[in-house]
Amino acid sequence: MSKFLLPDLGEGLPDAEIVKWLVKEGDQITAGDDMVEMSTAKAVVEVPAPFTGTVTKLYGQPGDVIDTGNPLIEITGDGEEAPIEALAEDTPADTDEVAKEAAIEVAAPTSAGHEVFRLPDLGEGLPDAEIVQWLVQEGAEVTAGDTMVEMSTAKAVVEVPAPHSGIITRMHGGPGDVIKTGHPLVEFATGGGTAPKTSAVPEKSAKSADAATVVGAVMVGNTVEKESAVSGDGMKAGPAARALARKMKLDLSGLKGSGKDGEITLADVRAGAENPSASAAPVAATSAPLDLKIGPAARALADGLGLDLSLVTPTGARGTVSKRDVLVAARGMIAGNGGAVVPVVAPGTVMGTVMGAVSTAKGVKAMPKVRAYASQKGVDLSRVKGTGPIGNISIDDVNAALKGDFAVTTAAPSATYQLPPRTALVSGEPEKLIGPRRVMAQAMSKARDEVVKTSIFDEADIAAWVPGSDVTARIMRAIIAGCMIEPAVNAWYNSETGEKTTHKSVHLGVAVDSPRGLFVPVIQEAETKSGPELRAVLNTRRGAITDGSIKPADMSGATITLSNFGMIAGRFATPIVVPPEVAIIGIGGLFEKLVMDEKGIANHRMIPVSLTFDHRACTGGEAARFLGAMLADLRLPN
Amino acid sequence: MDAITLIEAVNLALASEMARDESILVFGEDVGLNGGVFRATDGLHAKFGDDRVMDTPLAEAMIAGLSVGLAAQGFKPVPEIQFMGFVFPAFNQIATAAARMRNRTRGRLSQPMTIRMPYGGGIHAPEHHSESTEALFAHIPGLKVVIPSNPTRAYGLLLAALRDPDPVLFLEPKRVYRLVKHEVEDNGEAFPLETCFIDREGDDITLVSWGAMMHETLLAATELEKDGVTVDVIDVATIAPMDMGTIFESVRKTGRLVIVQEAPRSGGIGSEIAAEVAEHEIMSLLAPIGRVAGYDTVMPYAKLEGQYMPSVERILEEARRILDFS
Repeated sequence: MSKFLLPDLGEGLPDAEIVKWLVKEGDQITAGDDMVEMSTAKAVVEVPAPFTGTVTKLYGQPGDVIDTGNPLIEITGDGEEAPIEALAEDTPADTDEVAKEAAIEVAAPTSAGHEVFRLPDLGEGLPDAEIVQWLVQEGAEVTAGDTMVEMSTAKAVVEVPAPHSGIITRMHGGPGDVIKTGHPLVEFATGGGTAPKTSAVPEKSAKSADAATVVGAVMVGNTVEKESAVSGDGMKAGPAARALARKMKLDLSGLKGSGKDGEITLADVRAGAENPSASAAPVAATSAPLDLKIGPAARALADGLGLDLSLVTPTGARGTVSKRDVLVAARGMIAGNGGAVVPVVAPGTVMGTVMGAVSTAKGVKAMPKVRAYASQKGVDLSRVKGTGPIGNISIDDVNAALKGDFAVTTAAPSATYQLPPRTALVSGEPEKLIGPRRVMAQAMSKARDEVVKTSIFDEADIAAWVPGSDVTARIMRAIIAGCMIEPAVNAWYNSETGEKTTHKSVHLGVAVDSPRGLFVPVIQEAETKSGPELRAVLNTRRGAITDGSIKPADMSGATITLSNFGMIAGRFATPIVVPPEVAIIGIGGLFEKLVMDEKGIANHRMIPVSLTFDHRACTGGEAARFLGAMLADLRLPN
Repeated sequence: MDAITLIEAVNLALASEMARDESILVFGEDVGLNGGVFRATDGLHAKFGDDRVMDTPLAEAMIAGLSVGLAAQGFKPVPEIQFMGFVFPAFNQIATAAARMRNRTRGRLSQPMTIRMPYGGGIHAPEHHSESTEALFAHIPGLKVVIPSNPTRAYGLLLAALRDPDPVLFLEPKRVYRLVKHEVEDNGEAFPLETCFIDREGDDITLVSWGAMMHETLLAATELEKDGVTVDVIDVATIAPMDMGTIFESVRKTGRLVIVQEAPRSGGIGSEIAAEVAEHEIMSLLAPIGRVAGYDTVMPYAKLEGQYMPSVERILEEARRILDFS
């Protein structure tokens, strides 16, 4: 018995589809006889028998897709072979590895009942897959459909089922080995029975018996869908009948349905259109002028005269309105016996009127329908806060403004449209920000809108520090040292006047985290104080914040600010520069780092320093010089 | 009444109308003995013979030219262009002869022909087998361009195309050729052309699509409905000349519009719909008009096809952006 594997039928395609078997099991065939019609991309190819003998098994039915290199037919006989060229005339001998292997299979048929299973394309058009794990052993008996091996493709681990029932005689490769698509994966002695291809190659299995082309894979579904009779208006009519009625400007409610369950059919709509008085009224009068038969020249004349076309009596050929008809109608009206001349309103006029009534506030982001609504309700859009994704105003925002609910102007953006939430219900109630938190929200928004923030990061090596140094005091001193060398960052910038004030004295703001919110107390004339003095003032300020006795004067007038968030967590940050200040220093948590020093590799403690500055007021050079001076001061032993 | 696929509905309509109208001739590459690469013309040769069902050489310019001549002489040619990507040699005959014959001869000659072409991607096909170039034809005055989205519409619209006195390009969404089945009665009832079909009715957002993308669009609508959003889903069906009235009416109701097209984004039918709505219904809009489309690149091969074509997820993302806008 010889198994004939599907060769590449000449187009380098991965598979072909059986159109029609020309032989059946038990038939005697002669080498060269056509045995099957296979459909490729564009043509049906007749595949001739490679051997003379008796057909013992056909693989697949018309409509089934056979992968190149997979079995097509089994023939028992004397082994006389037809030349391979007869099968694949157009294939250059060296094109496709799979095709070559298929040819080899043909030339050296495997023994009876011995099956080589080749790695199929695991559904993603990938050239190969990696063995993750064998789930069978050599000698094991498997049933068609059993999982034999887990293969890993680019995206997923796919379980490859046994295509046949039988005994595994050989496994190609172990875990980690990459097997090319079309190459042998497992060999087994078959006990008959082919597994459905579905499991191994889900995509192709879906093909039904009548799928014709093999240019790609047309998905096949067996779902029977129904064109539903949409019934928003209570009328029973399918989309086609509704479409026709709309086109014919016919009101469905006047029609009687003759279809199943009283459904209005296309025929009912047509009948209704032919006999409007009996069953249905044409929709609205506005469409009348459009239904008139009138040429463009006559229409232009009527438009020019401001004539309502519904008042014209057509006398032209086949009921066409002629230019003469238009003139007659116009004269009749001027004579007063046809009613008033109704000026035709150009569409632009209508639009213009509406637009004129709409709020024209500049810089307001609102869709036209929202503007129209606001205008109708008399709401000035420039006073409404938009909660849309780009700060645009919604109808809800207009309604909120109408209610006098201007809370939206300061509250966090709320959900906008009235549709139910998509996610699980949220818990908790909205809470208005007050006091320091409200001040923070406003200051931060202003800073974000105004400052051109730029950041630089570096690390200060503090390995040389004497034991017991006060980290915060050293950092404050380093900022002061930086300001002395590069005063440009110890400054205020007034964006309205464009004036920059560079300060001689350092009034150091220090961000303090408290349960009541963010506070920035100020250490005035910091440059006149020693490390311990700076520490003492800071402790005093913190105490005042805790007991609520801090004075406003001690929380304003900072010329540069320190945010020492590293005491909690974090290494680098881009803290916000709050105008009129032009720089802020962020200090992250101390960390250890292996560095090369004179002696070799050493473990040094480092302080991460982040500097954010307002690039409108400082140059990058000024900022970097400040940072350099700060780092130099931090490196000192004490 | 059997449940049949879209391709079977095409076959049914052809067989049905050919029996009714002897002037219909079907021809093209592999349409005769083979029954067409997708089996659209399966059995027609056996039923109607060599004189009415003919295999042609691989020469699209000739196929279209033959159609122009036959149509001018009173036949109703129904040529098949095997894949829409092959139509370009025929474009000259279609655009410069078929589309303008009635105008050129002041109505003395007309071109009652229906040019069938499978279009679109999603079947892992080779190069230039997957494009959606409907906009090229929709732009030519004198051509009707019709795209069915399901078996029922394929039957009804193809009958209408076959009975139309002027050239109709009938684009068949090959990805959904066999995807779903409808019970279609062979009753010879043509559907109206130049009219949209409304598949769902709702108040919150309008989704507009045509052809194969109707499948994803309807799935997206179902997902949105699970969130309590009600959706108008419109199948444009005839993309030239287009029924904008139905779309306007829907937008007036919902204020929100998302257009889904498989073709590249720029210069497509979606752009035309967006422009028309902006021009005539801008006062009804609550949000910008959203478009979900293919990308402005050559249609990729199998591996990237899924990324290229609008997915249910992409449609949902855009619909939700539009719903959240205002």
